Amino acid sequence: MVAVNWYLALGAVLFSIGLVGVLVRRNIVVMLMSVELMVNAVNLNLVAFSNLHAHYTGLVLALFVIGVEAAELGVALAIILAWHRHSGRLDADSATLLKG
Amino acid sequence: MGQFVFALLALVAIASAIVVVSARRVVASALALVLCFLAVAGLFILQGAEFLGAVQIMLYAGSIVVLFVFVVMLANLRGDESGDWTGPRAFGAALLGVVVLAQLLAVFARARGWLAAPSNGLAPGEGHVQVLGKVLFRDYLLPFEILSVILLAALFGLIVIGRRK
Repeated sequence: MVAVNWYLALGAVLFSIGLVGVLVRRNIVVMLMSVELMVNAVNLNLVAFSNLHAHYTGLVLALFVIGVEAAELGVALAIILAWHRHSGRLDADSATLLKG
Repeated sequence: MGQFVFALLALVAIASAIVVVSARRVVASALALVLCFLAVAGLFILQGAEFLGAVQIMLYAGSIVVLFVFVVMLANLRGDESGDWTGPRAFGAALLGVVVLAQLLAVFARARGWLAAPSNGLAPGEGHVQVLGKVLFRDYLLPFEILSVILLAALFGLIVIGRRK
C-alpha cells in the first residue's frame, strides 16, 4: 500500500509543471493543455483524500470537476477557433484587442 | 508490488507532463497529454477508484484529446514555437513554479508521519460503483442536475460561437 503522502506530492509536482507551462508557453492550445495538467493534479489529490478518509465525497467532487472541465474546454476551444478565424494567429500575445 | 506500480506510473506522468509543456510540435504535446492522462487513470485505479479511472480514460484520454487534435488540424498549426525558455518571463515562471511546489510540499510534510489509507477504504470492485452511484444520486442529485444544465448551456454556446458569420 502506497502512503497517501506520495500521491499528494505527485499532484503538487504535476500542478507546478502545468503552472510553468501556462506561464511560459504562448500558444493558446498548449496553454489549455497545461491547464488540463493542473486540473488532473487536483483530481489526483481529491481521490487521494477520498481514499484517506474512506469517504466518497472526494470521488463525487472529482466527477463534477471532470464534467465541468469538459464544458469549459469545449467553449474554450470554440473561442480559440473563432479567434484563429478572426486573426489567423494562435499566439496569446497577439490578442490585444482590449489593450488600452 | 503496489509501490513499484506507483513509481512507474508517477515517472510516466511526470515525464509526459514535461513533454506536454516543452514539446516543439503541438501534436506531440497532445499525444504526451494522452500518456499523462492514462498514467493518472492508472493511479486512480491503484487507489481503488476504478469508476473514476474508466471515466478518465473515456473522457480525458478519449474525447478531450480528440478535441485538441481537431483544433490543431483545423487551425493548421505548424507549431514551431516552444516558448521562450531563456528570457525574464521564463525565469519568473520557473521561480513561481518552484515556490508553489515548495509551499505545497511543505504543507504536506507537516502531516504527522505517513498517511496510510485505511484497509477498508474505498471498497474495490462492484461494491465501489454501487456506493458511488448511491452517493451521487441521493446526496448530490441537485448538483448533478445542475451539471447537466451547464453542459447543455455549453453546447448552445459552442454552436453560437462556432457558427460562421
